[in-house]
Amino acid sequence: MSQAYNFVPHTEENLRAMLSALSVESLEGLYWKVVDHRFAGTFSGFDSLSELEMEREFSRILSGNKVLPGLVGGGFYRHFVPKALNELAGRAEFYAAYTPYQPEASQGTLQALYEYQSMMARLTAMEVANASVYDGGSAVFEAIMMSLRITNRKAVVVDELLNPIYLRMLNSYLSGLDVELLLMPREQILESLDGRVSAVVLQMPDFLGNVFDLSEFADGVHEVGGLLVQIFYPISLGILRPPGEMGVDIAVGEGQSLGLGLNFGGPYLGIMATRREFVRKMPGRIVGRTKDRNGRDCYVLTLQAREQHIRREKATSNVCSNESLCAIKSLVYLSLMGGSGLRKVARVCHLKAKALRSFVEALGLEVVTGDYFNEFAVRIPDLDGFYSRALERGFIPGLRLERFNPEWKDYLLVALTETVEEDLIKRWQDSLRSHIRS
Amino acid sequence: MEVREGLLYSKEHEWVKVEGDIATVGITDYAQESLGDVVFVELPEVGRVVSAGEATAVVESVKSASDVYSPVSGEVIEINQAISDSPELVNKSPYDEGWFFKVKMSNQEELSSLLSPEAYKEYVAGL
Amino acid sequence: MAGLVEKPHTELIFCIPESRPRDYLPDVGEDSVEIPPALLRKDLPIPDHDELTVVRHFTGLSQENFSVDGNFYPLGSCTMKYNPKLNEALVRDVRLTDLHPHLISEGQARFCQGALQILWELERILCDLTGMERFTFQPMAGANGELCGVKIIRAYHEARGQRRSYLLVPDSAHGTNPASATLGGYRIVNLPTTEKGYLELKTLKEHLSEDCAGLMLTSPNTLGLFNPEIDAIASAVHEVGGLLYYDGANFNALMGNVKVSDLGFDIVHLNLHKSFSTPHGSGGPGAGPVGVVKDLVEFLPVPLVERGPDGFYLNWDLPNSIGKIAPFLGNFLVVVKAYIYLRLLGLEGIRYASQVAVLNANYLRQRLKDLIDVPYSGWCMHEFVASAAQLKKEKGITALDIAKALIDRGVHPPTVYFPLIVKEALMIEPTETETKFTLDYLVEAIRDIIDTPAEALKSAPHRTRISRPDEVRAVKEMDLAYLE
Repeated sequence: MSQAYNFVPHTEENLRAMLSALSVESLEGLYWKVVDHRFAGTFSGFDSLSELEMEREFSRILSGNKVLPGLVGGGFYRHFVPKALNELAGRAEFYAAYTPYQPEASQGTLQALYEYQSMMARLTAMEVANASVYDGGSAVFEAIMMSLRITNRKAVVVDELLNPIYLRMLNSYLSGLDVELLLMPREQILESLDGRVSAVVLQMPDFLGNVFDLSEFADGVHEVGGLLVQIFYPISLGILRPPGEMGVDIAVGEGQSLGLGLNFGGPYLGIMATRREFVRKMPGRIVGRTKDRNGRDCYVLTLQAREQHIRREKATSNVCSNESLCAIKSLVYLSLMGGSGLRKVARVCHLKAKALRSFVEALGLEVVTGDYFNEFAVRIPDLDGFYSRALERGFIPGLRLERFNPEWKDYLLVALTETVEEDLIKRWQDSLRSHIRS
Repeated sequence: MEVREGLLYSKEHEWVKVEGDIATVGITDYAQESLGDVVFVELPEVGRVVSAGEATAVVESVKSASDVYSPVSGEVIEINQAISDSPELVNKSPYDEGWFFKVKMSNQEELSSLLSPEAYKEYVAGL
Repeated sequence: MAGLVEKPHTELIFCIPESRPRDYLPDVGEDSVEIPPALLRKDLPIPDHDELTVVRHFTGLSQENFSVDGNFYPLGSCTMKYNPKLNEALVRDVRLTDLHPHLISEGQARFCQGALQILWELERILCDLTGMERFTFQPMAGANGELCGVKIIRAYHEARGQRRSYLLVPDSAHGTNPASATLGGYRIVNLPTTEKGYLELKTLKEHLSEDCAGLMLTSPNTLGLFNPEIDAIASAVHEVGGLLYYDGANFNALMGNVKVSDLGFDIVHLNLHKSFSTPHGSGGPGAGPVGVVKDLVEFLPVPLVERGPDGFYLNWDLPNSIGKIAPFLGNFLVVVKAYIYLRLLGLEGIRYASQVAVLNANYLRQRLKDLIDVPYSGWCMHEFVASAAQLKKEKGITALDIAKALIDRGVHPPTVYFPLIVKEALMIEPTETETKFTLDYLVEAIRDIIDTPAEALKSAPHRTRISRPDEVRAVKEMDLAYLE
């Protein structure tokens, strides 16, 4: 026996019985009956490993990763994950199931997704949510496309202080489409609005960590018949006023902070919530509650006529596979933490940021962020020097912003979460103090 | 399956009732039956100018969505709000209460390419 | 629902009475927040529950699901093979879950050498299996890969000063193909499937022109048939300057045996959650890496992973890149699971798996064809489509009835009513990880169902917590969130 036959269970005897039922001699013989032999490929090949070898090999490979503690955020945050979460979402009944197309055999997934939609609607104070899209960035794109369908317009006004990664994604996703993307500083947005504008897209907290009231933008864009899109940070909604209470029409966010981990960039979770009146223009899967034949509550995929498997080229989006398991994880996270737990996480994040901010201000450094939640940008002279000495001491002091925008030379974006230990903050402060002195 | 006398039909299963230069458009009994329970209808805006064969409305059942094509060219002058509120009317009364929209025709010659009730019956029988 | 155990904890989480939640974090004292009062939230309608209540709730919900671990799941075109436990166990390592993606933005490759090594090695394996020159791991699902591929097609033509207007898609294709092409800015031209069950060269030729950007094709197609004219089709598309896009949804049938580059394809996406056993996760996350031939490498999303004398690094220097499809390098943990799976099997194992997938499908097809009509005679690849049209006429038994009755017999139903070109379709894909015992069980289950009077099937399933849901009511009521 070779380990290459891992996961193929046939005994020699069964294999022969099955082949003879088909009146063919061999497995190879069958395959090359189905496919003409002129298509047989030549491969350079790679070896198979036993499970024991694979575990060792994997551990060797992972020794090349160094997880340094640090104050890096920039839209992606390390938050505490209760152990119960991975045990529950790690159940194969969830991870080894397909999209719940057969409701009687998928009530677990369907009810969980209905609860997820409800949880997101509650978190954002919106009326409905879909069952997820890929990530925060693709959610912004989908929100823009959705606004175009609702308004029949072509122009979108976008705040310059969106996460630059999302701006790059938008450029890629919107290329080749008949959409006019107007990127501008936030101060200019209100005066630029006219009847061509389908949506205004704002991020709050923005990329530099500023928190601000969106109500005036909502009023402004609604006056010209457009929509307001907010990119939100889920954890911040434990303490900050939610999108639905500021006139937002489509709220999208990266759900990574809700128990998913950093995962070197994925899988993440694209959250998308909106008003009930727009739900038919929303992309992605949606679960609804209904009754079965005995009058019992049950859950189904609904409003499917919007989707690609029915509408094909006229669908609201091409999205098929989404991030269901990540959505379920975020639901489990919010269920375990509860409203009181989420409030506490948000409060801890903010208070840690408050303490560090007053420290850097006391050193006389310029903090360029105004009102804030858990993240702020500070100008540190000779930032690269500070940064590399911090690395030598075993931590990453924050995210350098110059590579996103040359005007942000020497800006360090610093994020605080409940996972940042006091000891790290002390090391960070000591390093900065000695850096400023030198 | 009812094919009503006095109407004209398209191969896409729309019917047309002509009164002067006004054409009322709906979907046939055959169409509503093949769709199953109609759950949603998207109607055009009044004032929209359509040409014959243009997708003008959408009719959805639980697991399908179909375009409704205007069999004639002209301006949409009225829509049937009742089927937006109660899509089941399309199933219950496809030729009466379940009509979709009215078009003020700009080219009545297009009517000659539509099918008579007999021809439509024959066409459906062959499907 | 007599016979079913009551589960009070599977009420909606919002309807279970609140209890005292765990406090997972240390206290921070009473310091006041520094946020303008107008920006503070008043009401946060998320319920509090103790940990055991939450555990019971989700354990209870999970038990309402069919899954590969619990049930045979022969869902056509979805490749529901066994998901090795090792995949799940290894990716929980904190050296993966706590690895910050902004290491990529900061160019700090030295802290993520392990992650980059996995991507680099997996890219070599996928290139070997497909014959492509390079892969990007950014696309976060199959449809996202299609969009990425369509953008590459557009960039390629534009780099040649051409603005081609349409893409060709067969009518048997998955709905994502036409939807992705439209989202990529192209008009769709649908190609009919002929009575042979696949796209024929003569059909294709009627729709080719200098304005055609390319053809999107699944091979084998959704009927489980390998197109014997594929190389001629590829040449014809190339002759007019178009590109060939391979939808890898059905790659399980080819892996390790046929190189898609040999068939003439220029762009490929692979569904790692199908062919390579990273699980489907109740609908996601998936991963849809895209591979391209040499001439198209310059258009791939940035960054690419490279190996130099000092280790692995990220290459942002692709001036003609289509940009970014994912925030970083795609659904990384999903990609890692595919890597583990492929290393466990090796080329020999992959080839064998694919051949057994074909054997299992043909064996089932052979045994079922006396019970139920199987259109398109001849051999199938990893899946086949049966039709209940005849049964419906003779006995009143529909594809839906068979599907629902299978649930009572512990089998997840096949894909039903797809592809649209077969009436009363049942699309069956057993995969290679099923035993002969399981395959024979399905045959007997279907025999049993067909011998049942149709009326008795109309109310199936009988053994699940719920009976058939009222889907019309769901659309009309639009009860999409519980907010009370």
